[in-house]
Amino acid sequence: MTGFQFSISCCRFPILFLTALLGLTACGGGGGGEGTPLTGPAQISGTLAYVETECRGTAEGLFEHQSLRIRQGDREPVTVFETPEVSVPGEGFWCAVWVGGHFGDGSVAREAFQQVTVSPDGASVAFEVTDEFSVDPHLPLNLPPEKKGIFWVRADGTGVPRKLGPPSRERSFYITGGNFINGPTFDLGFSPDGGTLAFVDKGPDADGHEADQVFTIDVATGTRTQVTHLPSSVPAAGYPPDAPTMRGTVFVDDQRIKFKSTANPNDVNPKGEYLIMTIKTDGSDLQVPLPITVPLAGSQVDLQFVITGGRPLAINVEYAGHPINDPPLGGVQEIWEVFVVDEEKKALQLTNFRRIDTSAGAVDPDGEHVYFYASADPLGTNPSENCQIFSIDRTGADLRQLTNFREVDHSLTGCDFETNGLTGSRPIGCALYFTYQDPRSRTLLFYSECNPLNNMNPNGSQIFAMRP
Amino acid sequence: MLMSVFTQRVRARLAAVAAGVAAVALTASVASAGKLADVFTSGELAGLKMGPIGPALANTVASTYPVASASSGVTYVYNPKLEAFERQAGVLGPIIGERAETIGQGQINIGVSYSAVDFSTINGDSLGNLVNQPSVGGRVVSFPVPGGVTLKDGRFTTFLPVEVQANIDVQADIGTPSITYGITPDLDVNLSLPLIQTYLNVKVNETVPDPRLPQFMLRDCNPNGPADDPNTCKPNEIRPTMINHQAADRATGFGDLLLRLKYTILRDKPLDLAAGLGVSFPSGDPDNFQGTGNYQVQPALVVSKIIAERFEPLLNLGVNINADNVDRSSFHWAVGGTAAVYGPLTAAAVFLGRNEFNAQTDSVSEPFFFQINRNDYYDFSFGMRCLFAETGVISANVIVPLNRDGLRADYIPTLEAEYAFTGPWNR
Repeated sequence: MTGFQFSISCCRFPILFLTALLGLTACGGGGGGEGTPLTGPAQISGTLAYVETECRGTAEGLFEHQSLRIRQGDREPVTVFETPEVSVPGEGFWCAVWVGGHFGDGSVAREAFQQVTVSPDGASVAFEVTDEFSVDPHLPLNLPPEKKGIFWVRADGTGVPRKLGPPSRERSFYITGGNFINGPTFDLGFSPDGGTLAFVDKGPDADGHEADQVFTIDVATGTRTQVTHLPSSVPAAGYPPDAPTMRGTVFVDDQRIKFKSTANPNDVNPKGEYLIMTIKTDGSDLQVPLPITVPLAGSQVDLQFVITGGRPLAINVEYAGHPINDPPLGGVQEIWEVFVVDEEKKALQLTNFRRIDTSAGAVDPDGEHVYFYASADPLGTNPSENCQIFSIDRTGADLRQLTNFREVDHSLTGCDFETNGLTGSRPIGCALYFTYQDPRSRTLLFYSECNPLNNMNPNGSQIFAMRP
Repeated sequence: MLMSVFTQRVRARLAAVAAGVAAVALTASVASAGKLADVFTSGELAGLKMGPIGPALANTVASTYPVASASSGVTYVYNPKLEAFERQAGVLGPIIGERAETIGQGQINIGVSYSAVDFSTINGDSLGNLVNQPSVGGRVVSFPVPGGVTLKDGRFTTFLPVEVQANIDVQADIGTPSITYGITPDLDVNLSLPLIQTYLNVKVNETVPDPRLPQFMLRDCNPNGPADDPNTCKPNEIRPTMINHQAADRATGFGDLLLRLKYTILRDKPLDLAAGLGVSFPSGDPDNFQGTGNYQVQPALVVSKIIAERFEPLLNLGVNINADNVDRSSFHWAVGGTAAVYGPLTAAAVFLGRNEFNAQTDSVSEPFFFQINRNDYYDFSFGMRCLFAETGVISANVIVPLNRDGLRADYIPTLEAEYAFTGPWNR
């Protein structure tokens, strides 16, 4: 995602929604199986954690602070952590800019909250707060030591957040040309049993050189463990030199962690791309789930029956070639397509849009449907090429467009959170970011700056829920 | 790339009739290669993941074998005036099902039956034409393509789904010697030990990619076009393929030993009422579809009544208790009767039922062909019995299914011969 950082004066908007959605798995519904019938209104049956950034712009200047709020089911949200209000004299105009741009994610580049995640049982929330990465613009956060670090708190708001350890020394965003903020990179995740957190931080490789590594923290004891010892690397081509080289740590199961890295251990990633890798929590068995994306010469059918595996993952895969839609206002030119990969590494490409902003969402608990978002118009129902949510059968059939957002006759930004210049003028086309699916109600949650339903969202990015 | 594998199948059908009740050495099942259930898990079919079907078939097949009545067709009562046992006049007993009357103290009945079972359907679907579901929970039966292939629509994949048509031929020839002895005037004991030859033949035709999933279509290309034509197939280009596989095996061995007791509680008050107890010992090999693999206890109530020495309605109610897994027990019942037709001829017609408490085996984890469910079996048994040499009976019977649950044959014919006589110690 690219764009200016945004917040809103006088109104609230949520950011860091992806980690909130992880809490929706925690309602006891479990994965797999057929899911519940798709009737009735969209429901959130688990825990939703989100960060509100409140910005007031006055003649005196800018006044901003953040709150971590947790909502369980249909109960009223509770505030469990707040950052001190920061003020910047004479900078009050920024609030209007951030409101106009509808880009709440951009607060990670200036504010304290970097990561939020909810445990699978919905009973607890972990978050990361730091004042080390306030760069765009720089805010005098000056957090006291007790307000910086990785914290754990009960989702019902009882008790005081418990500090598990210091914050990561790797930022969760990067800034591309034109001052566009890309982030957060969602690097904090609970294990399925809720007992361990995985995250990205800097640590020594096998030769002692510092590089981005996967770490874990035991929630009960606070014991911190470095899982990977990958060689140092640089960001992939087209990314700024200070971009993180590792991101997206998430537990596949209690024993294995998935992440993306540009590292090249054992020559598995000679191009230095953000390649999906998995590793066991004890640091063994590093695997690369999807080694190829184009047919090898002499490829043949193996006449041994196999049944495509369970636990499919929907992932983004970079493809060679020139995309048919250019990144708005500059940016990396890459083709991204959605693949579904099972646990035996059998892979199937689901999309063939040849665009820069096609992105995988989730696999439905029924194991048969995959949700993704794109600005493509494969069905002739998205002529404005605005960002939309789609569903497709896991075998590549039954493609459906689930949303119908439209802001202009032709979107300038596709699925990128952008703004047209510093004025934040709109409309330019609205973006969305699919985040999660409640496994019990099968409700889809996504984060969007779009303004559907009779102007119900004039104030910027919000979390939306929808039945698929 | 086109492969065709056809195996010439030669099948000999043996008449399995055991001779008498002389001691028969118990021999291990004789299978040409491994166990019948292994047909699904080894060789060319190994990767089809049909392995779970084997135990499912074994359990269902062994539970489906017809078991001839332990009740003697001819019964005796002691005449104190004559100080001898007299054969009771009246209808001959049923072929399938029980009547309450006992054979008579010291009397012996020996018999042998032969049944031919050729299973044809499972849950109503023909075993001769089982086609896999295109997708189950988003998963497909597939062939891997490790190097990957580009589909017609330009997408990439490392597997291709397969349409599989399976022809599963399961047959059993069952010869069952049996002996019934009257311990007391009211108590009979019966011992039956079937000798079974089972046969399994699986033929599989595969089409890849699965034509039911057009999203996996491969590029149309001309295999014989000029090399510089873009529509000409590239060397070794992956193209649609049809493949045949086959595997077969047979085995001969003993089935489950069945010991049955019957005690007459009431006579002519106003009905005849007996209590029965059967115990089945797992002497048959379940992997060759010749036994259940479980101890089974079979308590039952038997009600019957001879009317005018010509008719005998009957009702059997019983439970087949799986001693190793009670949840997999079943309820059995029979209602019908026999009627003297003409002279030595008796007709027997009985409705049979078996209602399972639960599925009799573990479910198939990936039910691309069928699933193992709890079943209710309803059958109709009809036969004719003929008395000869005063105490001998020959019978012919057929069982036909009345519903489509579970594993079924179109019909099961049974031939039986028995002879009753007084034990030498009673003369």
